[in-house]
Amino acid sequence: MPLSGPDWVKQFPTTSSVDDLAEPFRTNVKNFLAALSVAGARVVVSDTYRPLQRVYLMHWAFAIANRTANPAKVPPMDGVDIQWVHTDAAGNPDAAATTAAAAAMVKAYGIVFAPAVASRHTERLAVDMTISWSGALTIKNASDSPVTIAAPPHNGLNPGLHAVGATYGVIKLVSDPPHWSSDGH
Amino acid sequence: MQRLLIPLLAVLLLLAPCGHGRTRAFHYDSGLGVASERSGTICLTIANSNLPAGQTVSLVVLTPRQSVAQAKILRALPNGCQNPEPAADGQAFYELCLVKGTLPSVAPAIAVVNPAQPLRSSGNFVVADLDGDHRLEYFRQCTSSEGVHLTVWAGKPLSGKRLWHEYFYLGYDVEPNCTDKDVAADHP
Repeated sequence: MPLSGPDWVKQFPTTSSVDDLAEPFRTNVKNFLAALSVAGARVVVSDTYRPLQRVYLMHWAFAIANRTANPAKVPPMDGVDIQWVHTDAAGNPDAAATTAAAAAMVKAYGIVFAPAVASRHTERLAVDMTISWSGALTIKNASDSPVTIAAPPHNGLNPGLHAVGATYGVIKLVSDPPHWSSDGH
Repeated sequence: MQRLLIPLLAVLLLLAPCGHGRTRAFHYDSGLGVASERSGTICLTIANSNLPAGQTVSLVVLTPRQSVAQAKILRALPNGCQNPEPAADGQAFYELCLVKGTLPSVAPAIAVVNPAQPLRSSGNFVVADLDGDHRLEYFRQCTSSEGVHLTVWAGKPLSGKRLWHEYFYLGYDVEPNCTDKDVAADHP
Protein backbone atom coordinates (compact mmCIF):
# COMPACT_ATOMS: atom_id res chain seq x y z
CA MET A 1 0.00 0.00 0.00
CA PRO A 2 1.58 3.35 -1.03
CA LEU A 3 2.54 5.64 1.81
CA SER A 4 1.02 9.08 2.22
CA GLY A 5 3.00 11.97 0.74
CA PRO A 6 2.87 14.72 -1.86
CA ASP A 7 2.79 12.28 -4.81
CA TRP A 8 -0.87 11.70 -3.99
CA VAL A 9 -1.76 15.29 -4.82
CA LYS A 10 -1.55 14.66 -8.57
CA GLN A 11 -4.24 11.98 -8.34
CA PHE A 12 -8.00 12.61 -8.51
CA PRO A 13 -7.74 16.16 -9.92
CA THR A 14 -10.56 18.68 -9.76
CA THR A 15 -12.08 19.27 -13.19
CA SER A 16 -13.45 22.36 -14.88
CA SER A 17 -15.52 20.62 -17.54
CA VAL A 18 -19.28 21.07 -17.48
CA ASP A 19 -19.51 17.59 -19.03
CA ASP A 20 -18.42 16.17 -15.65
CA LEU A 21 -21.61 17.40 -13.98
CA ALA A 22 -24.56 15.10 -13.29
CA GLU A 23 -27.82 15.29 -15.22
CA PRO A 24 -30.10 17.18 -15.27
CA PHE A 25 -27.84 19.83 -13.72
CA ARG A 26 -25.34 19.42 -16.56
CA THR A 27 -27.92 20.38 -19.18
CA ASN A 28 -29.25 23.19 -16.98
CA VAL A 29 -25.77 24.69 -16.69
CA LYS A 30 -25.13 24.33 -20.41
CA ASN A 31 -28.38 26.12 -21.21
CA PHE A 32 -27.57 28.92 -18.75
CA LEU A 33 -24.05 29.29 -20.17
CA ALA A 34 -25.46 29.40 -23.70
CA ALA A 35 -27.84 32.18 -22.70
CA LEU A 36 -25.00 34.10 -21.05
CA SER A 37 -22.88 33.71 -24.18
CA VAL A 38 -25.64 34.95 -26.49
CA ALA A 39 -26.16 37.91 -24.15
CA GLY A 40 -22.48 38.82 -24.43
CA ALA A 41 -21.41 38.03 -20.88
CA ARG A 42 -17.90 36.83 -20.15
CA VAL A 43 -17.77 33.53 -18.27
CA VAL A 44 -14.79 31.62 -16.92
CA VAL A 45 -15.59 28.22 -15.40
CA SER A 46 -13.02 27.25 -12.77
CA ASP A 47 -14.26 24.17 -10.89
CA THR A 48 -17.01 21.66 -11.51
CA TYR A 49 -16.38 18.14 -10.21
CA ARG A 50 -14.22 17.57 -7.14
CA PRO A 51 -13.69 13.82 -6.71
CA LEU A 52 -14.64 12.44 -3.30
CA GLN A 53 -11.26 10.71 -3.22
CA ARG A 54 -9.48 14.06 -3.47
CA VAL A 55 -11.62 15.55 -0.71
CA TYR A 56 -10.91 12.50 1.46
CA LEU A 57 -7.16 12.89 0.96
CA MET A 58 -7.25 16.61 1.65
CA HIS A 59 -9.44 16.28 4.74
CA TRP A 60 -7.43 13.56 6.44
CA ALA A 61 -4.02 14.92 5.46
CA PHE A 62 -4.96 18.21 7.09
CA ALA A 63 -6.29 16.47 10.21
CA ILE A 64 -3.18 14.30 10.61
CA ALA A 65 -0.81 17.20 9.92
CA ASN A 66 -2.57 19.23 12.62
CA ARG A 67 -2.70 16.25 14.99
CA THR A 68 -6.49 16.33 15.27
CA ALA A 69 -6.89 12.78 13.97
CA ASN A 70 -5.27 9.47 14.82
CA PRO A 71 -3.68 8.31 11.55
CA ALA A 72 -4.19 4.68 12.56
CA LYS A 73 -7.95 5.23 12.76
CA VAL A 74 -8.60 7.06 9.52
CA PRO A 75 -11.48 5.29 7.79
CA PRO A 76 -10.64 3.67 4.45
CA MET A 77 -11.93 5.04 1.17
CA ASP A 78 -12.84 3.06 -1.90
CA GLY A 79 -10.28 3.58 -4.62
CA VAL A 80 -7.72 5.25 -2.35
CA ASP A 81 -5.10 2.71 -1.41
CA ILE A 82 -3.14 4.95 0.95
CA GLN A 83 -1.17 4.08 4.07
CA TRP A 84 -1.30 7.04 6.44
CA VAL A 85 0.91 5.51 9.16
CA HIS A 86 4.63 5.52 8.35
CA THR A 87 6.92 3.12 10.15
CA ASP A 88 10.57 3.13 11.14
CA ALA A 89 13.21 0.59 10.19
CA ALA A 90 11.96 -1.76 12.91
CA GLY A 91 8.41 -1.60 11.61
CA ASN A 92 7.09 0.51 14.48
CA PRO A 93 4.81 3.50 13.86
CA ASP A 94 6.84 6.65 13.21
CA ALA A 95 4.70 9.56 14.35
CA ALA A 96 7.10 12.23 13.12
CA ALA A 97 7.35 10.75 9.63
CA THR A 98 3.58 10.24 9.51
CA THR A 99 2.88 13.86 10.43
CA ALA A 100 5.58 15.16 8.09
CA ALA A 101 4.16 13.23 5.13
CA ALA A 102 0.67 14.57 5.83
CA ALA A 103 2.04 18.09 6.18
CA ALA A 104 3.80 17.73 2.83
CA MET A 105 0.44 16.81 1.28
CA VAL A 106 -1.21 19.82 2.90
CA LYS A 107 1.45 22.10 1.48
CA ALA A 108 1.24 20.55 -1.98
CA TYR A 109 -2.55 20.90 -2.03
CA GLY A 110 -2.25 24.51 -0.81
CA ILE A 111 -4.60 23.93 2.10
CA VAL A 112 -5.03 26.68 4.67
CA PHE A 113 -8.39 25.88 6.25
CA ALA A 114 -9.80 22.49 7.26
CA PRO A 115 -11.34 20.90 4.14
CA ALA A 116 -14.94 19.74 4.29
CA VAL A 117 -15.62 16.06 3.68
CA ALA A 118 -18.31 16.49 1.03
CA SER A 119 -20.09 19.15 -0.98
CA ARG A 120 -22.23 19.66 -4.05
CA HIS A 121 -18.99 19.61 -6.04
CA THR A 122 -18.33 15.99 -5.00
CA GLU A 123 -21.90 15.18 -6.08
CA ARG A 124 -21.30 16.78 -9.52
CA LEU A 125 -24.00 19.32 -8.71
CA ALA A 126 -22.05 22.58 -8.49
CA VAL A 127 -20.07 24.88 -10.75
CA ASP A 128 -17.72 27.72 -9.87
CA MET A 129 -17.62 30.42 -12.51
CA THR A 130 -16.74 34.07 -12.82
CA ILE A 131 -19.30 36.07 -14.80
CA SER A 132 -19.00 39.68 -15.92
CA TRP A 133 -20.40 42.06 -18.51
CA SER A 134 -20.44 45.70 -19.50
CA GLY A 135 -23.47 47.97 -19.48
CA ALA A 136 -26.92 46.42 -19.39
CA LEU A 137 -27.23 42.67 -19.91
CA THR A 138 -30.22 41.35 -21.82
CA ILE A 139 -30.46 37.61 -21.34
CA LYS A 140 -33.15 35.08 -22.08
CA ASN A 141 -34.51 33.10 -19.15
CA ALA A 142 -35.44 29.43 -19.41
CA SER A 143 -38.87 30.39 -20.76
CA ASP A 144 -37.14 32.15 -23.65
CA SER A 145 -38.24 35.55 -22.39
CA PRO A 146 -35.63 38.35 -22.47
CA VAL A 147 -34.68 39.88 -19.14
CA THR A 148 -32.69 43.11 -18.99
CA ILE A 149 -30.35 43.58 -16.06
CA ALA A 150 -29.23 47.19 -15.92
CA ALA A 151 -28.40 47.68 -12.25
CA PRO A 152 -24.92 46.95 -10.91
CA PRO A 153 -22.98 44.95 -10.08
CA HIS A 154 -22.13 43.72 -13.57
CA ASN A 155 -21.01 40.34 -12.38
CA GLY A 156 -22.16 37.06 -10.87
CA LEU A 157 -23.23 38.79 -7.66
CA ASN A 158 -26.12 40.54 -9.40
CA PRO A 159 -29.49 39.48 -7.88
CA GLY A 160 -31.16 39.89 -11.27
CA LEU A 161 -28.82 37.31 -12.74
CA HIS A 162 -29.49 35.00 -9.80
CA ALA A 163 -33.19 35.11 -10.68
CA VAL A 164 -32.42 34.25 -14.31
CA GLY A 165 -30.12 31.40 -13.25
CA ALA A 166 -32.86 30.01 -11.05
CA THR A 167 -35.17 29.65 -14.06
CA TYR A 168 -32.57 27.27 -15.51
CA GLY A 169 -32.23 25.33 -12.24
CA VAL A 170 -28.83 26.89 -11.58
CA ILE A 171 -29.05 28.39 -8.10
CA LYS A 172 -26.69 30.94 -6.59
CA LEU A 173 -24.96 30.51 -3.25
CA VAL A 174 -24.67 34.16 -2.32
CA SER A 175 -21.91 33.71 0.27
CA ASP A 176 -19.49 32.40 -2.35
CA PRO A 177 -19.35 34.62 -5.44
CA PRO A 178 -18.25 31.98 -7.99
CA HIS A 179 -20.48 29.16 -6.69
CA TRP A 180 -23.74 28.02 -8.34
CA SER A 181 -25.38 24.68 -7.73
CA SER A 182 -28.51 22.58 -8.15
CA ASP A 183 -30.01 23.82 -4.87
CA GLY A 184 -27.98 26.83 -3.73
CA HIS A 185 -25.73 24.88 -1.36
CA MET B 1 3.73 92.53 6.24
CA GLN B 2 5.61 90.58 8.90
CA ARG B 3 2.75 91.27 11.33
CA LEU B 4 0.39 89.52 8.98
CA LEU B 5 2.67 86.61 8.10
CA ILE B 6 3.36 85.43 11.64
CA PRO B 7 -0.30 84.95 12.65
CA LEU B 8 -0.97 83.34 9.26
CA LEU B 9 1.86 80.84 9.76
CA ALA B 10 0.62 80.11 13.26
CA VAL B 11 -2.85 79.35 11.94
CA LEU B 12 -1.42 77.11 9.20
CA LEU B 13 0.64 75.20 11.76
CA LEU B 14 -2.42 74.66 13.92
CA LEU B 15 -4.34 73.31 10.96
CA ALA B 16 -1.53 70.97 9.85
CA PRO B 17 -2.15 67.23 10.45
CA CYS B 18 -0.42 65.74 13.46
CA GLY B 19 1.05 62.26 13.94
CA HIS B 20 3.09 61.22 10.95
CA GLY B 21 2.42 64.30 8.96
CA ARG B 22 0.41 62.48 6.29
CA THR B 23 -1.98 64.69 4.41
CA ARG B 24 -3.51 62.16 2.03
CA ALA B 25 -6.98 60.91 2.87
CA PHE B 26 -7.27 57.16 3.28
CA HIS B 27 -9.67 55.52 0.84
CA TYR B 28 -10.79 52.03 1.83
CA ASP B 29 -11.27 50.81 -1.73
CA SER B 30 -7.84 51.83 -3.00
CA GLY B 31 -5.97 51.57 0.30
CA LEU B 32 -6.87 47.99 1.13
CA GLY B 33 -6.24 44.82 -0.85
CA VAL B 34 -5.52 41.13 -0.52
CA ALA B 35 -2.07 39.56 -0.57
CA SER B 36 -1.20 35.89 -0.67
CA GLU B 37 1.85 33.78 -1.34
CA ARG B 38 1.67 31.11 -4.01
CA SER B 39 4.58 29.19 -5.48
CA GLY B 40 7.06 31.52 -3.82
CA THR B 41 5.53 34.73 -5.15
CA ILE B 42 3.58 37.14 -2.95
CA CYS B 43 0.90 38.80 -5.02
CA LEU B 44 -1.19 41.81 -4.08
CA THR B 45 -4.63 42.38 -5.60
CA ILE B 46 -5.92 45.88 -5.02
CA ALA B 47 -8.21 48.40 -6.73
CA ASN B 48 -5.34 50.84 -7.20
CA SER B 49 -3.21 50.95 -10.34
CA ASN B 50 -0.98 53.81 -9.15
CA LEU B 51 1.29 52.14 -6.64
CA PRO B 52 5.00 52.64 -7.38
CA ALA B 53 7.81 50.14 -6.93
CA GLY B 54 9.22 50.47 -3.43
CA GLN B 55 5.87 51.44 -1.92
CA THR B 56 5.54 50.06 1.61
CA VAL B 57 2.61 47.73 2.19
CA SER B 58 1.54 46.49 5.64
CA LEU B 59 0.10 42.98 5.72
CA VAL B 60 -2.36 41.93 8.41
CA VAL B 61 -1.81 38.21 8.94
CA LEU B 62 -5.13 36.82 10.14
CA THR B 63 -4.09 33.72 12.02
CA PRO B 64 -5.87 33.32 15.40
CA ARG B 65 -3.29 35.65 16.91
CA GLN B 66 -3.14 38.40 14.30
CA SER B 67 0.17 39.96 13.36
CA VAL B 68 1.63 42.51 10.98
CA ALA B 69 4.22 41.88 8.29
CA GLN B 70 5.84 44.54 6.15
CA ALA B 71 6.40 44.29 2.42
CA LYS B 72 7.40 46.49 -0.49
CA ILE B 73 6.11 46.51 -4.02
CA LEU B 74 8.59 44.97 -6.44
CA ARG B 75 6.68 45.43 -9.69
CA ALA B 76 3.26 45.50 -11.27
CA LEU B 77 1.92 42.20 -12.64
CA PRO B 78 -0.10 43.01 -15.77
CA ASN B 79 -1.31 39.43 -16.12
CA GLY B 80 -2.60 39.16 -12.56
CA CYS B 81 -1.99 36.72 -9.75
CA GLN B 82 -1.99 32.97 -10.21
CA ASN B 83 -5.19 32.55 -8.25
CA PRO B 84 -7.70 29.85 -9.17
CA GLU B 85 -10.37 32.46 -9.85
CA PRO B 86 -10.00 35.40 -12.23
CA ALA B 87 -10.07 38.75 -10.46
CA ALA B 88 -12.79 41.34 -10.85
CA ASP B 89 -12.52 44.27 -13.24
CA GLY B 90 -10.73 47.33 -11.90
CA GLN B 91 -8.21 45.35 -9.88
CA ALA B 92 -4.46 45.84 -10.21
CA PHE B 93 -1.80 43.30 -9.31
CA TYR B 94 1.66 43.66 -7.83
CA GLU B 95 4.46 41.35 -6.75
CA LEU B 96 5.52 42.03 -3.18
CA CYS B 97 8.80 41.45 -1.39
CA LEU B 98 8.52 40.65 2.31
CA VAL B 99 10.85 42.85 4.38
CA LYS B 100 9.68 42.08 7.92
CA GLY B 101 7.65 39.28 9.50
CA THR B 102 6.22 36.16 7.89
CA LEU B 103 3.27 35.34 5.68
CA PRO B 104 1.82 31.80 5.82
CA SER B 105 1.79 30.12 2.42
CA VAL B 106 -1.43 30.51 0.41
CA ALA B 107 -3.30 32.13 3.33
CA PRO B 108 -4.76 35.54 2.43
CA ALA B 109 -3.65 38.65 4.29
CA ILE B 110 -5.23 42.10 4.25
CA ALA B 111 -2.85 44.58 2.64
CA VAL B 112 -2.87 48.20 3.83
CA VAL B 113 -1.34 51.08 1.88
CA ASN B 114 -0.74 54.49 3.45
CA PRO B 115 -2.88 54.25 6.59
CA ALA B 116 -3.37 57.46 8.58
CA GLN B 117 -1.77 55.80 11.59
CA PRO B 118 0.51 52.74 11.73
CA LEU B 119 -0.87 49.30 12.49
CA ARG B 120 -0.24 47.85 15.93
CA SER B 121 -1.09 44.78 17.98
CA SER B 122 -3.71 44.87 20.72
CA GLY B 123 -4.09 41.48 22.39
CA ASN B 124 -4.90 38.95 19.70
CA PHE B 125 -5.90 41.64 17.24
CA VAL B 126 -4.19 44.06 14.93
CA VAL B 127 -5.76 47.52 15.09
CA ALA B 128 -5.18 50.88 13.45
CA ASP B 129 -6.82 54.21 12.90
CA LEU B 130 -6.73 53.77 9.15
CA ASP B 131 -8.72 56.84 8.18
CA GLY B 132 -7.58 59.25 10.88
CA ASP B 133 -10.97 59.60 12.55
CA HIS B 134 -9.45 58.79 15.97
CA ARG B 135 -11.34 55.50 16.10
CA LEU B 136 -9.70 52.12 15.78
CA GLU B 137 -10.40 49.78 12.89
CA TYR B 138 -10.27 45.99 13.33
CA PHE B 139 -9.57 43.16 10.87
CA ARG B 140 -11.33 39.82 10.54
CA GLN B 141 -11.49 36.71 8.40
CA CYS B 142 -14.02 33.87 8.27
CA THR B 143 -14.81 31.03 5.90
CA SER B 144 -17.84 30.46 3.72
CA SER B 145 -18.27 27.23 1.74
CA GLU B 146 -15.18 27.60 -0.41
CA GLY B 147 -13.62 30.94 0.29
CA VAL B 148 -12.49 33.44 2.89
CA HIS B 149 -14.32 36.67 3.66
CA LEU B 150 -11.89 39.39 4.69
CA THR B 151 -13.37 42.39 6.45
CA VAL B 152 -12.38 45.64 8.16
CA TRP B 153 -14.62 47.10 10.83
CA ALA B 154 -14.99 50.43 12.61
CA GLY B 155 -14.73 49.13 16.14
CA LYS B 156 -14.95 45.48 17.16
CA PRO B 157 -15.74 43.02 14.35
CA LEU B 158 -19.44 42.16 13.91
CA SER B 159 -20.56 44.82 16.38
CA GLY B 160 -19.15 47.87 14.63
CA LYS B 161 -19.77 49.04 11.07
CA ARG B 162 -18.25 47.00 8.25
CA LEU B 163 -16.06 49.35 6.22
CA TRP B 164 -14.46 47.02 3.71
CA HIS B 165 -15.07 43.50 2.42
CA GLU B 166 -13.26 41.24 0.00
CA TYR B 167 -13.63 37.58 -0.92
CA PHE B 168 -10.70 35.19 -1.42
CA TYR B 169 -11.51 32.04 -3.36
CA LEU B 170 -9.88 28.87 -2.01
CA GLY B 171 -10.81 26.38 -4.71
CA TYR B 172 -11.80 23.64 -2.25
CA ASP B 173 -14.66 23.17 0.18
CA VAL B 174 -14.27 24.13 3.83
CA GLU B 175 -16.50 24.26 6.87
CA PRO B 176 -18.22 27.67 6.90
CA ASN B 177 -18.08 29.84 10.02
CA CYS B 178 -19.04 33.26 8.65
CA THR B 179 -22.04 35.19 9.92
CA ASP B 180 -24.58 37.06 7.79
CA LYS B 181 -22.82 40.31 8.71
CA ASP B 182 -19.58 38.98 7.24
CA VAL B 183 -20.97 37.91 3.89
CA ALA B 184 -23.65 40.54 3.28
CA ALA B 185 -23.39 42.10 -0.14
CA ASP B 186 -21.61 45.42 -0.48
CA HIS B 187 -24.00 48.24 -1.21
CA PRO B 188 -22.71 50.90 -3.59
